[in-house]
Amino acid sequence: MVPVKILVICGSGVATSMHVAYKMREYFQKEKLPVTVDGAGINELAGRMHAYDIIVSNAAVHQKTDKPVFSAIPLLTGIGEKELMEKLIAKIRELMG
Amino acid sequence: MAADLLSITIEEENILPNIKVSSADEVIERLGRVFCESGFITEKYIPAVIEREKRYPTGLKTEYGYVAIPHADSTEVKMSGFAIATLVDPVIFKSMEDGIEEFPVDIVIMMAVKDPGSVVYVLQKVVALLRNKPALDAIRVAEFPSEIKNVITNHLIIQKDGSGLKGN
Repeated sequence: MVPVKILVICGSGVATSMHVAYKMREYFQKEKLPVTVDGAGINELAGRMHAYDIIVSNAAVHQKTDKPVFSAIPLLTGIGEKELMEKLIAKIRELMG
Repeated sequence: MAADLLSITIEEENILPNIKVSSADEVIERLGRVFCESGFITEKYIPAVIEREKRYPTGLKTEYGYVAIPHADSTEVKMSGFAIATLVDPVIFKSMEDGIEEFPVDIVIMMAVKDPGSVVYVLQKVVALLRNKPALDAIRVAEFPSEIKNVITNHLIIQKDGSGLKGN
């Protein structure tokens, strides 16, 4: 099965995106979902998003994209974390067909 | 893993309780100065954080108030760690989420991340703090660095067995 590819974006690509990617991997492993998660800085978004199925971002995304974009802030603050992960997992299952 | 968790410590000299500042830049400068003196960062880290904050702000709305986590990339970091200030009067940090909304922040946690391997540990601690009402309440009312250090140290010990992450 081809894994669903998620790109996690933050301002610099060093801190919050790494944390969010780590947290999401934990969720996906628990659900046994074939997902790969990479982190990157927002300046890399334009060049890399074509290779991913879903974008999850800690920063505001202004680039136009036909990919689904989710805010990663709930994974930092805890507010709405469960809802975000439910939506993400539903989207992943939808993409898996 | 426990050793890694404990290897990032908070030094009392990096804790500034109840300081009076009038802007986000000013609190970053104050934290940056002590953070630099204690050997965690170089002086250049301070303008890098201020600059990054303008482009990619770090204000967060938590269930228990507004917190900012200013940081920059690892170029000017010597050791991973964090520095904390509590503010007598809140200052405005913009929202990390949309870069527009303005949050009156009264707890500022400046992060320094040396290498990707330590990112997760630093962030796990900071994120666990953001979600811990008793810890945030205790930090807000603390008068001395030692009190805040104790809150964080106790909190990390709780976190070590995983129970510090409850409530999510």
